[in-house]
Amino acid sequence: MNGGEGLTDGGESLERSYGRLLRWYPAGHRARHADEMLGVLMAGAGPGQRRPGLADSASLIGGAARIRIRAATTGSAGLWRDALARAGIVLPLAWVLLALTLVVPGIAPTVSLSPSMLVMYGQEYLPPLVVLVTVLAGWRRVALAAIAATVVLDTGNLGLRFLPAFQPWDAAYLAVLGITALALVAAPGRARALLRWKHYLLAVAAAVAAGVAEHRLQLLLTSPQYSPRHPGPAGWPPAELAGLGIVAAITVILLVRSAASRRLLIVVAVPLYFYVAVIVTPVYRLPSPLIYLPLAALAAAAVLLAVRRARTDRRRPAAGGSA
Amino acid sequence: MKQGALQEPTLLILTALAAGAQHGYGIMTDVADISAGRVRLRAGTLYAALDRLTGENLVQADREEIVDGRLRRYYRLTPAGGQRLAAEAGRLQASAAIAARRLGLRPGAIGGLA
Repeated sequence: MNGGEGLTDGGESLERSYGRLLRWYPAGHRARHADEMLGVLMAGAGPGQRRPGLADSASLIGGAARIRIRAATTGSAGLWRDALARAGIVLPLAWVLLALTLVVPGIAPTVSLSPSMLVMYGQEYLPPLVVLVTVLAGWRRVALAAIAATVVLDTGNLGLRFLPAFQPWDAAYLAVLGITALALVAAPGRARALLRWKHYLLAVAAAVAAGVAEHRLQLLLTSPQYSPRHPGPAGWPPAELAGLGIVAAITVILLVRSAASRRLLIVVAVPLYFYVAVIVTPVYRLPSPLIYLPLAALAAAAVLLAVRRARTDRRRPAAGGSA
Repeated sequence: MKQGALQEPTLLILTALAAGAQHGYGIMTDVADISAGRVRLRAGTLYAALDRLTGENLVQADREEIVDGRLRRYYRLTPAGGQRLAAEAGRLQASAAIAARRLGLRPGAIGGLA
């Protein structure tokens, strides 16, 4: 046992190396166990050892990963449910706002607000508006029925009839509806209690900024001057670019700074992925497996959630559901 | 509720603590002894297991000492940990007894199995 008896230069170097490896651990675990673990590691070191062995390094990094994963997945079921609940309002709200940016003069590049165009947009965006209103009103069953009706009515767009024509936009739409439905089933009535006016304000600002950025990017990416080899912001009005940058920075900072909002970011990752795909698709075509894989992951998550909920309900037969 | 079988490192850590509280390095050397050198726990594996076992209330911190200027924390089994280890030992013993019987071996013929 090497202990802590007067470390040599080699011992100090080894201890520093172990210390660097311990930075992989969560701060709370490190604060409680780092000194103790260093003692164990130094006690197990061979005479004259100057660097951590490969097995020890792998064990420390693997152990840190297991502890981080456990911290993220256990004891935080409430945080995940809250994130899902928030996503159940934020996503349909963002979807409707994105739709609105299509008909706001000066934002959408190619829109002519003729009656026939308004009818076309109405057919496309009225259903999510109905979903949003029913979700905000707390009419859970009506909202679920609206989602089901939207999916059925839009079957053609959603690819069941025209599978080869299935596009990232359809996938994003399906993911938004799917997550909203999951939220209504798994976390009914929570979102309205969790969301404050500042959250709605942030969601509105982020969605409008995304809509503006989307249309501007579509315009730039499809212009004859655009080259994928030199995808700079040329042609983007500086004031608009600065404004979008500020909104994006504030949104990212607010989303990553708390455990609950980081989970929200993970919950909305699938529709966000497809939304980014929508923007870049005119230039970078998305291979079809990349369209289906995240949807398959979302479907698997829904099945797991359903199974977990069923098992929970079986263990607590007296607990009633909420309407 | 039905519990799954313990993984071998977990079983060995609980076994090491069954005789009394031990610190991290003591658990590592004891596990190596119990398994006749077959299982050599590394610090990362040990502390990930201790973190999980503490979370499951099978193990808890017992006391702390400062040795050569360094913190040494001792861990011990909780009553729930003792029960879990006893249940696992009984399950393994029953399986081993059936295996021995089906092989037509006398009790104690395989590595001291009862």
